[in-house]
Amino acid sequence: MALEQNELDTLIDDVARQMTAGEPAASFTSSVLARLESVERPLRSWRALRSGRPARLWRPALAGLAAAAVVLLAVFIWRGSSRDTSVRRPGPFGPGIEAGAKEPTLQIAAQASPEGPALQTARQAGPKGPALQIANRQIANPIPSDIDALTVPSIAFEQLAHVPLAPLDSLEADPLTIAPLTVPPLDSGDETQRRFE
Amino acid sequence: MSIDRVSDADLVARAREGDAAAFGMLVDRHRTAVYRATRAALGSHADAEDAAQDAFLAAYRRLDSFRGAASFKTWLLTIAWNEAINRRRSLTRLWRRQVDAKSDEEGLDLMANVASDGPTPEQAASHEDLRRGIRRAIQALSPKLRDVLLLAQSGEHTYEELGAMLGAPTGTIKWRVSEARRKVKETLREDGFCNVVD
Repeated sequence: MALEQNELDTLIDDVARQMTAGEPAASFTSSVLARLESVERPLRSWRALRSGRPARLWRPALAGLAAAAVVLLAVFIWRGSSRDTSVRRPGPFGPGIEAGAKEPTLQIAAQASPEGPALQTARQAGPKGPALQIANRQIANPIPSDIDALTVPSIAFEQLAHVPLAPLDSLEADPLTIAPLTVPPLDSGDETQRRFE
Repeated sequence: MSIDRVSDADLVARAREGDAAAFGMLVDRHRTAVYRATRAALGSHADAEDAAQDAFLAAYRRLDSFRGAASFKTWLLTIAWNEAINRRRSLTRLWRRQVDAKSDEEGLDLMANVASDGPTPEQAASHEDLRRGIRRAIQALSPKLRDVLLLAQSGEHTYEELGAMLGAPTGTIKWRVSEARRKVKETLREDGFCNVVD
C-alpha cells in the first residue's frame, strides 16, 4: 500500500490529533473551584487588602478592630473618672470625704469656715497642693451633713509653767601641760646615702 | 445577558473582584484547550488534567497581571504550557508518562480495530502497523518539533496562539510543523515502511 504525500500527512496529523484527544473530566470545573476556595482564600483576601479594593473578607476584621478601640477608649475614660469619683463617694467619714479624711489638713478645713485660716493656708499652698484640692471639694459640697452640725468642744489644757533655769556654775578647766618636744639632729649625709643604696 | 455573550474580559474583571462563578465560566470555556495543551506536553490523561487544574489556579493568582495585550485564552495557554513543561521536567512524571503512553497506545489500537471494519484483515494490520510506526516516530521527535506538531493538530490552537505560547514567531511554528512531518516520514522509511513514497 503506497501512500501519497498528502495522504501520509493526513495520517500523521490524524495520529497526532489522537495523541492529544480527550476531554477533561466532567467534574473538572468544580474541582478547580473547590481548590480555589480551599487554597486561594487567604491569598485573595490579602491581595484585596493590598490593592485597596473593598473586600467582604477583611471588612469585619476592620470593624472588629474599631470596636475594640472604642471599648479600650471607654475603659480608659471610665478608669480616669472613677479615680476622681472615688474621692467624692460617701465614705465612713461623711459625704465627699473618703481618701483624704485621715489627713489633718482636711479635718481642719472641714471644721473651719470658708474664710477660716485653714482655707487661707491651703490657698497659699498653691494649686497643686492636696490641702487646697480637698478643701475646695469640701466647700463646693452643698449637702449638709451631721459633721457640719457638730460642735467641737474646746480642749482644755494646763498652762505650761516656765521654770527658769538655775545659773550654771563656772566650769573649771585643768590647764593643759605640753611636754617639750626633743628633736634629734639629722645626720643628713649618711642617711641620704643609705636611702638611695 | 446570555453567558455566551459575556466576553472573557468581562469575566476576568468580575473574577478579579472575587466572583468565583465568573472564573468558573472562564474555566468552562477554556478547559478543553488547556487540557489538550497539557496533554500534548505530558501524554497521559491524569498528568494532563492535574497540570490543567494547576494552570487555572495559577491563572487565578495572576489575574492582576493580565493586561489584555493578548487574548485571555492565549495568556491562559501560555501559563498552562509552562505548567506542563515544568511538570514534564520531573523524572517521576516522565516515567509515568512512558507507562501511560504504552497503555494509551494499546487502547488506541483497540479502538482502531473496532472502528476499522472496511478493509481486509491484512490491510487493517498493515494500516495499524503504519499508525503505530507514526506514533513511535512522533514520540521520537525532539520536544520542540513534537510539541508543535501535537499542539497544532489538537484542533484548539491557532498558529498565532502557538507562537505566543511557545515564544516563537508564527512562521517558525509553521516551519516546525512541516519539519516534524518530514522527520516522521524519514523515520518511517528508516523503520522499513517502504510504502512511504517521497
